[in-house]
Amino acid sequence: MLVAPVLTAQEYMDLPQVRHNDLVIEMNDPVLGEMEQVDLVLGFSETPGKVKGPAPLPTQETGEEQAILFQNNAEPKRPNSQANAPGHPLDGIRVLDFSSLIAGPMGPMILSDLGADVVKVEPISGELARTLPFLLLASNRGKRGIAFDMKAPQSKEVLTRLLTSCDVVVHNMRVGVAERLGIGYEAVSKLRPDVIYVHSSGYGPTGPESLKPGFDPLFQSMAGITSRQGGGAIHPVFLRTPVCDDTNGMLLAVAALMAICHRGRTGQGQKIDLSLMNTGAFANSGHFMRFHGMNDRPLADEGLLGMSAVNRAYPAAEGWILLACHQTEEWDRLKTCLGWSGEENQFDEATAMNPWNEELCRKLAQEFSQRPAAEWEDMLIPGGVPCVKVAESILEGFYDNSHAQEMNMVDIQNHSEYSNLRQVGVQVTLSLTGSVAKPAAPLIGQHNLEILTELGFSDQEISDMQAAGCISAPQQIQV
Amino acid sequence: MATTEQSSGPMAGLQVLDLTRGTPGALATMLLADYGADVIKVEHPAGNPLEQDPAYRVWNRGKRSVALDLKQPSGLAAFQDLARQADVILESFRPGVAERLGVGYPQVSGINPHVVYCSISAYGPTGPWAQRHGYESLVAAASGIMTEQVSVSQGHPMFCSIPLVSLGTSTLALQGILAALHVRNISGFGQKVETSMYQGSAALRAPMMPIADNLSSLQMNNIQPQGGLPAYRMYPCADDKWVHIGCLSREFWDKLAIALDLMDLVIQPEFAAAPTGWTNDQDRELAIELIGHRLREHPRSHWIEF
Repeated sequence: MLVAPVLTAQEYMDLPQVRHNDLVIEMNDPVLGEMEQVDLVLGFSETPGKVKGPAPLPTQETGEEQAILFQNNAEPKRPNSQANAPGHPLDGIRVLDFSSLIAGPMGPMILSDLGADVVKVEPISGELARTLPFLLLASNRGKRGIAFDMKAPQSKEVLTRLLTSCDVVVHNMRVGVAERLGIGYEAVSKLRPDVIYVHSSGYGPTGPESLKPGFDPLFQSMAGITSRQGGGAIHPVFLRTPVCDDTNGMLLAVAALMAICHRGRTGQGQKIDLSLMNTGAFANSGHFMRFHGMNDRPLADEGLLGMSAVNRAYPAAEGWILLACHQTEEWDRLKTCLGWSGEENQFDEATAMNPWNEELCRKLAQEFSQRPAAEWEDMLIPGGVPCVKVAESILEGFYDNSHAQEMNMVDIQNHSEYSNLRQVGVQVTLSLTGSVAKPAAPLIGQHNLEILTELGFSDQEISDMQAAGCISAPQQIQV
Repeated sequence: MATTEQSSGPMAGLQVLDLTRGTPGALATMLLADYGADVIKVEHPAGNPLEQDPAYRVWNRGKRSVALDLKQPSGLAAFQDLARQADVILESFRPGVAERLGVGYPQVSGINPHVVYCSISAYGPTGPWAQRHGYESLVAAASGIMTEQVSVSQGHPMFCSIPLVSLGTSTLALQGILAALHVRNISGFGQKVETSMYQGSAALRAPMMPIADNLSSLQMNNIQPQGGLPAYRMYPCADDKWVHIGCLSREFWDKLAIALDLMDLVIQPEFAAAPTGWTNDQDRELAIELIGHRLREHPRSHWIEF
């Protein structure tokens, strides 16, 4: 059943599957003492990594006296230089993407943004996200699409040639399914010994819950995110942003890139496991911890507007303003800008920064109600007060935002089916090797012909496969 | 082929100098350290008031720290010694500050042309918002995260209790850094990588963000803070412990109805298009009421084992 308990982060730490995934590590921290915290969340089969130790103490001496050096500085850094850098960072890397929905496909999309040739493999009926077009569009930009019946006998050769030609394989099928389809790590690494093989699962590759399917909200709730989010309001609150899925997609790309770097230096491929369960612990790593004397950390107020009088949203005469003072001088600047020089000065730093000073809240609420949020921005930001008008929509916050437009952050697609299609563009820039302007997500099997031809299948073989119903019919595309 | 020690990660041998402050940089270099890199955090001798939260004891783990006053010639010289050996340098000063201090990309690449240098700003190096403050909650507010959520009072923004902006920014910065390291592996060239918290907040949310004139999104879930779809929401049980149901397929809807012994959910025509295809709010709310009422009859342990 797709049902999970709503837990705190500490209850999550004690779930048998969380323990099975080795997600909790004990640490002797010089500040907090004996504690538990999140362990490694990404599983690399050949290069596992290791939490090296606690955070350093704030340094007392200056660096010159410490004569600190890097540990591994035996060899000078002089990589072999070629005359040319590639046009795009991942030129020449081919990714085969069997994944569906968000947590899987988002990762290969990022690799595509960085220049990889990503082939999306789907059943003829399409992946699950085909019923939710906005999801499909958002996580599959820049991929080429091939659709075939993986169980048909003629498909075996298609799969073999695809797998032989690729550097990275990504899927998020339930545990065991890929093996049954003949695309498990063992089978793929026989065809391509240095393959980087990424499996993103719900709960992890083994363990008591590993055969269950898993979706974002269940992990939001188990990992303690919904209970903390709604804490001040006494009942759990769901984040509409699918934070476990989204973070998992981002981490998937990071893990694949780490393995690509490792393979570049050593020639060694490997299998990478990640899961929504582990990603939930990473996403909530600020609370996934236990130490002696740990007080319950502050929760938002019951209206879920903020964490203290000076770090919260206030309704303005028009719109909302978010105030975020974290340092004494910021709070002092706010008082100066508001002209608070009389009795308001009773609110010293300690009372302002500590949750919750109701009187200060009321006083600030009264101030902010006097002017529209945009006016407060004009008045307070030049005075050095950290505040901002709360964007009232995604248009104001991003698509129609003059800053986003000026910085070319919006991806505008001329799409055959969706008019005025806008999505999030590539958000990281590299000075030497640019990212790529990519077309929108492919239709089901849009590039069947192109890809099969590249793989060396003849026109006759391709039309035979089509006649046998093992690949999808060609799609009519207008651009 | 090189052999690797059991404990060493894919980043083994990588030397990283971390000048950042705050969560995005800390999370990014935590992942580099966990997977093998040697990370040295460069901090101001006066300390860092922004990293008091116990969470930073986790996010800064496995790193070493050196205190340098970059405004003093001796501090800058010590930085340059480290920068000569570094593979990766990260900074999160306001745009222009690193260059003024003498630790910007132009200066560093002069002494170490192979370096991968990553700048994480609040909103990007230029543009109308370039000089604005970059705290998590400010960027969440400015980029629409607070408004996208369903708060307890209709129309109110919601303060997010987990650092969505920083999760997006840290992983986005790493993607750029790792792609640049790959380029360096094959060509020898270093380069500058740039991103911002504002961009991190968009990149993380990209899957839910596309808009077009004729494209609908999952609006139904936008109605209540516990989730608006009957089989994609949270419910309290008799002991006030909550469960989260998470499914969007008919197959599961039928299984749920059987498990709860609510066969009306399967048979009655008003639920024919469940769990996602609701045509009116009354039917949808009726389903929520039926399921909620039934779950309230027993403690959570009656309904699920975990």
